[in-house]
Amino acid sequence: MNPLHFLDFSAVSALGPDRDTLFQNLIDRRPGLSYASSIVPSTSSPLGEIPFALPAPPPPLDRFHSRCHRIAYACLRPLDASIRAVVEAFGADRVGVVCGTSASGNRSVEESWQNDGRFDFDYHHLHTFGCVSRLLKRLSSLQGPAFSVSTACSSGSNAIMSAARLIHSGTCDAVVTGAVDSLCLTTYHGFQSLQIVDPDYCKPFDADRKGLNLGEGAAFFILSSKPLADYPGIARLLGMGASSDGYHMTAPDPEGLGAKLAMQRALEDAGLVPGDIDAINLHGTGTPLNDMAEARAVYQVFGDETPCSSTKGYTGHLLGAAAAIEIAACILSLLHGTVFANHGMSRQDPGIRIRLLTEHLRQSVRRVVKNSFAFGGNNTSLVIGI
Amino acid sequence: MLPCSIVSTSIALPGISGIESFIDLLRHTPLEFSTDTVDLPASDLLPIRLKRRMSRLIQMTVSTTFQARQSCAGSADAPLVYGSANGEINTIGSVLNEIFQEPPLVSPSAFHNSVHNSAPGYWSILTRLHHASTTISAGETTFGCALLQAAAMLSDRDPFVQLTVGDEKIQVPQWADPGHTNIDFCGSMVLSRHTSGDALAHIIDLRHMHGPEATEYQKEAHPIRIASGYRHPCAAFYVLLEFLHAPSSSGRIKLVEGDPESGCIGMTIERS
Repeated sequence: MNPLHFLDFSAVSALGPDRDTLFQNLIDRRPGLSYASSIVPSTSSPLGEIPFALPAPPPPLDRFHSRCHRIAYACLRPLDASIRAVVEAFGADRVGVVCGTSASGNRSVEESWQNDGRFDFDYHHLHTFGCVSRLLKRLSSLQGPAFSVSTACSSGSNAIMSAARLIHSGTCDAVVTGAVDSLCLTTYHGFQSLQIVDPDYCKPFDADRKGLNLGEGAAFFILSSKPLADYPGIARLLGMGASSDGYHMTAPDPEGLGAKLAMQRALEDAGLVPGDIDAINLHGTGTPLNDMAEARAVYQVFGDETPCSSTKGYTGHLLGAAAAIEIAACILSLLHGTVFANHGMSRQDPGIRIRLLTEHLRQSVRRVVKNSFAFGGNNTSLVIGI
Repeated sequence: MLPCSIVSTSIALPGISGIESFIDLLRHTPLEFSTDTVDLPASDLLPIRLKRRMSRLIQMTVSTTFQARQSCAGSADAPLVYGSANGEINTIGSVLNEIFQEPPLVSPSAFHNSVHNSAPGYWSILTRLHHASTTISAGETTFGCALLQAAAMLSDRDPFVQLTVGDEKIQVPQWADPGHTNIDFCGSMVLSRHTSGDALAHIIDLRHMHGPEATEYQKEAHPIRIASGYRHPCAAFYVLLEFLHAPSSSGRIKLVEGDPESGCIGMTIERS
């Protein structure tokens, strides 16, 4: 593919309200996971809940007041200047919005239920999957196409791939893209029912891993056809790959066939070979089946030399926003020459043969692969480089 | 954006499963439905064990995607773009009911079936295909945005892309504005980047627009609705299928989704 340019990005999660605090907490190995939760007060597992106040969108957009929308608004605000720059360069009608989300406004329904149970509830502004993209478009006064992508835990990567296609096809010159999701009781109890939640802090790829910890947050990117004078680009999207497992709704293909295909397609799209990749940010949820399948797939494509890690031990699993926050981490790796340690793992599963980092690796990082996998066997891999 | 072709289609509507029965339906004016929900029979594609677990939207999606793909040789590995405004909203409603019981006991299958991409997930499981797949939601412009995405994939590199769009009647959660989607409808089409051959039609214009340009486009556009009294977020796709298969239609049709202030998707389709 013709590489596209990440001109700017922002991130909000339990690790902090911006990308600088995200980086500092990753470097300091300070996870944002905690048993303290206002959303699930009786939680039996750590959650990556955002601990600071979230602003409501200003009038007349205050009808979009779900927690998901407030996280999105908090994450969008730092991009005001770069959005103005792309609008000035290309025109508002040439800048689109593609946002990933999985839980969307579920938390709003829950709040309505808990408050009075009457459901005088504005479905179109609080719950539909498309409304978050509509909000971002209106907050930024953009006039290009706006839609949401919802493929569960790979929503963020699929959103970025959709954004890239809008640019490649000539529909847009730049797209505000990324993903957002908020914690809610629905996903908390849903994942508990699947029995893939670790009651302790999650330990991706550890021999004793029990499952995931849920989190929430957002990361947004300005993806552009070309660099601008004031925004020369901080990273580039080099390749994209996607596949379906065709296996099971929640369990991955045990041999990682779909995951392997996604990685191979991304490398082919980038015109690269496995040896060109400096690091892999793994999906790495901490569930026994997912980690094993992903490790098998990575080993088949990359062998056992490429440094790998999951950052879910810091943020928790942000579901629809997981890929987005992890792509933000990938860009931080490129900018700072650091591959982050796989937090939480004390003893690598002996059946897993890939090179997992127990400490940060400081070295030149030119190209990274980001894996994201989801319910329905939806697999994505992106190649991001300097 | 490259012009592209529609090479095969399929449809699920109440009492209708497939193009042949749709063409029969089109002989009746005005359209009348004896029910507003789709009940597909169990089949090799929808084995009774799995059918019980699937929402109507999943059943419709699997069935229409299969039928459209079966009619187009060479599209077996085509990527799938799936568009749905509400997704599995009825299943989400039932899960929300469960979490407010004491103790909250959520059905694992209901939970994993509640994600927006359940239908394409089941499709790939039933067919064991490894194609790329994405799922798009954009309210009243869901069909148009999904078509933009499918066309972008074609202009990128894929020779065929399949687009399946659908929503089921909102029944379970009263908070979800049931009047907004009060009939089941799902449609699918295989698109080709080649504009010659035995295509059903060609998409000769597809664009996002707003303001005066959109207002002008709207003046020439065909009205969008399925039938009197019925509302559906993907009704534009129904109108397109009607244009493609009604014996009396010919020439071109212009369709617009959305409103000029917040943005529209406009498209012009010409029958072969």
